[in-house]
Amino acid sequence: MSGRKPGFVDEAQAAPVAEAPRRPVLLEPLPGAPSAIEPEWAPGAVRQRVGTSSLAWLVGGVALLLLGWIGLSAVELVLAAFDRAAAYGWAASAVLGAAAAMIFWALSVEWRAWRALARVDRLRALLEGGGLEPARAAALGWVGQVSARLRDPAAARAAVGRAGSVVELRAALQLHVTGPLTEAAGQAGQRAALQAGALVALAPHPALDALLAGWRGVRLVREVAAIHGLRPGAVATWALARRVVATAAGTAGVELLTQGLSDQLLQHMPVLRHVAGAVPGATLAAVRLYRLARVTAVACSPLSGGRM
Amino acid sequence: MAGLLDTLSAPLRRVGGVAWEAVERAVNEERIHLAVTGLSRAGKTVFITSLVENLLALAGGRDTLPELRARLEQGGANRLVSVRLLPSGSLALPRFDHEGHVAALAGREASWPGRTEDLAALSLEIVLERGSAVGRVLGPRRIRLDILDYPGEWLLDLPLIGMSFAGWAEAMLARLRTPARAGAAEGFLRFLDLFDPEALADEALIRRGHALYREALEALRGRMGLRYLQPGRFLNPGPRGEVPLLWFFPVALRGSPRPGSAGALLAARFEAYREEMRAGFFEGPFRDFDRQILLVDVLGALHAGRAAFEDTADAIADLCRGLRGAPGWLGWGRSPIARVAVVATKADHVPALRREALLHLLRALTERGLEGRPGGNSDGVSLHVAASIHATRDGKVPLGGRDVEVVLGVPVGEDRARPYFVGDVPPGWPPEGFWSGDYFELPVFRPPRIEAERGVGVPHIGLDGILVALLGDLL
Repeated sequence: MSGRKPGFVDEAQAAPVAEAPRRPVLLEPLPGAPSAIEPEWAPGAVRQRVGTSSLAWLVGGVALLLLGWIGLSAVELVLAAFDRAAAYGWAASAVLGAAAAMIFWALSVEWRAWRALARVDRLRALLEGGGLEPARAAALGWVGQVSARLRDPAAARAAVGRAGSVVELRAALQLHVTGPLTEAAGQAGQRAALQAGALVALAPHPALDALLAGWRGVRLVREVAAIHGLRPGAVATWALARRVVATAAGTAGVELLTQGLSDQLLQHMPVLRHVAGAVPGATLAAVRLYRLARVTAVACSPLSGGRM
Repeated sequence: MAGLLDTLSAPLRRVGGVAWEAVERAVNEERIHLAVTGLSRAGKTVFITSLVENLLALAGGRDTLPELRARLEQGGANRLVSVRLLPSGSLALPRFDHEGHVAALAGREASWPGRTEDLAALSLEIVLERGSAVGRVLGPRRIRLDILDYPGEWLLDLPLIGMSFAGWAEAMLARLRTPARAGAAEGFLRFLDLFDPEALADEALIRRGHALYREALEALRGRMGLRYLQPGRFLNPGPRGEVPLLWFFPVALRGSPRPGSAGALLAARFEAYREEMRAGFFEGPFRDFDRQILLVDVLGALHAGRAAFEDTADAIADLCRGLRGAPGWLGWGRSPIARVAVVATKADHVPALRREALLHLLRALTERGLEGRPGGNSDGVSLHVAASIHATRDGKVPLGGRDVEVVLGVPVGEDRARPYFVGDVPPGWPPEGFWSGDYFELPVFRPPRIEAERGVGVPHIGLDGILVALLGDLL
């Protein structure tokens, strides 16, 4: 047993434990002591915001032109149909109305997905430096959003309600909410990894590998987001994918890109080990998808520094 | 008609311009008053210097305040557009000499800036890109951050506002006569044995008494590390220096003093002092604070011994009561103070692994000042450990037969780095057995030389967390 490490005091070879010094003391310089101390401090560069590019304005303008053209043409179509016969006009109106309703439904889905993402962002900000009560209210809202995925939502709500400080609130969310969600995201990642491994092994041409893995990747991002109560549409999925990239580039994400995670996956999935032996590319696709699931889970969680 | 329109167009354009400017300011500009205070030697001046330098460096593209940068990020890009020091304009207060303090730190022999003797103010403009696409149409937001530096000793005078001379004198004399303090105040206490407050006022005698009382306060501060010493301006008189209203000292009165007596003159000066502090400070700049940083030298108090530690706890309790009591705090009374950060400074004297204990110790020290505040301690009040300038490096050296964690720094006035072992930092109110009775003065390490070039930043510990806690709701 050493002075610092735990151990049994009656260990045969135990050395006597030195008495810990208790009072502060300024010691004499060590041999070769430097004449100046520079702390370990090397701030990196900040990524600056880039303004809206001319290409974005161009795309926006073209989209507006197309949408305006389609809308005005539709109105003209209905008016022309009414000119021919009233029944024909009503039929055209019904068709256009149904199409418009579907478009609005899709937009409302996108809007709800954006709102859900914004709520998670707000909760993340409150957990980092906000007051207890606003953070608690936002946390309860989020628990409601993900309650279908929790083993015991009532216990999660009770723990959030009991938290006496923001730190405790974070701990309660970690224990009752993000833990189970991260586990579910990991399982989704394993499923996707297995499927991607199998698909790549079966693909008739290597050029299809990237396409198959990419398609499964987008589905996986949506699955993990749904686990976190986000249910993103196409546009929100795009926003989420950007966030996933930003998370992966951050400190938390880098840990997820290490070899350890690949080893962990192969250890838990013996089937994949067999596939890997036969088709090396299959393992790579599988590992990438598993990493994607874990990074997406971090990006979707309000506890950005949470368990991964 | 056309002539009338021509005549009106110029004034209309002017009115329109003024109205547009007012609307633009209302939409895009926000003004925050941030007060920084602490008891002497807590490091207020260097704190503000480092804070400003690191904000300027962050705006210049260096990640000097990572937590704040993370808060300002959106979609992986920084929303911070610029930070600049604003010109003083028609400011009625002395300007904080930021450039002078940076020059001191950037000199060949870097040295710590001098202590706060008076109020000083500095204004920064922080320009932020709005988060939403719709918001960006309105243009960037401008946060004007007015930083006010004031001596914490002055805040300790706030309780005097509600006290009579007799009540204050009785409380002060009781404190001075405690065994821990009586030695340092011996000269003044001996003088009081000879002083008759009913005798005719003798200016020379009263000035002698005042000088002895001030010497006692200085000895209590210098030799024992005590902080709860009133009146604050006796130790920190401010720019006006010695004025007659300061010439008083505590003395026990038997009933109302006779007009013309020494006791009556002392009471009148106490009243005048109280009135000046109320009108000139507490109802002046003090009233406008939105956010407050309270710096506490926890380690210094801990090492100075039990009396100093308890005295610091008393001082902090009174500072907290001062902030929440007279004008109000966090919804009590009239004060608009929305957030308060209580900071244990000099965290670079503690190895990284033991800073958590320092934070718990700060919590124990401030508990009494925060107790009874509605909403619990986490609402609006945050506790931090920080070092405005990181002047040390962590290391390990053998001590007492084992390797211990130390910090390495070059003490001021020396030319080689020495290891400093911080000793026990109890993670709560120190138990009885902790106090040894020895007074240990915290070593002052030479600051690392910083680049004179603007935008490089200053190495620090924890300033980013403090800014996020204080300003996070505005960002």
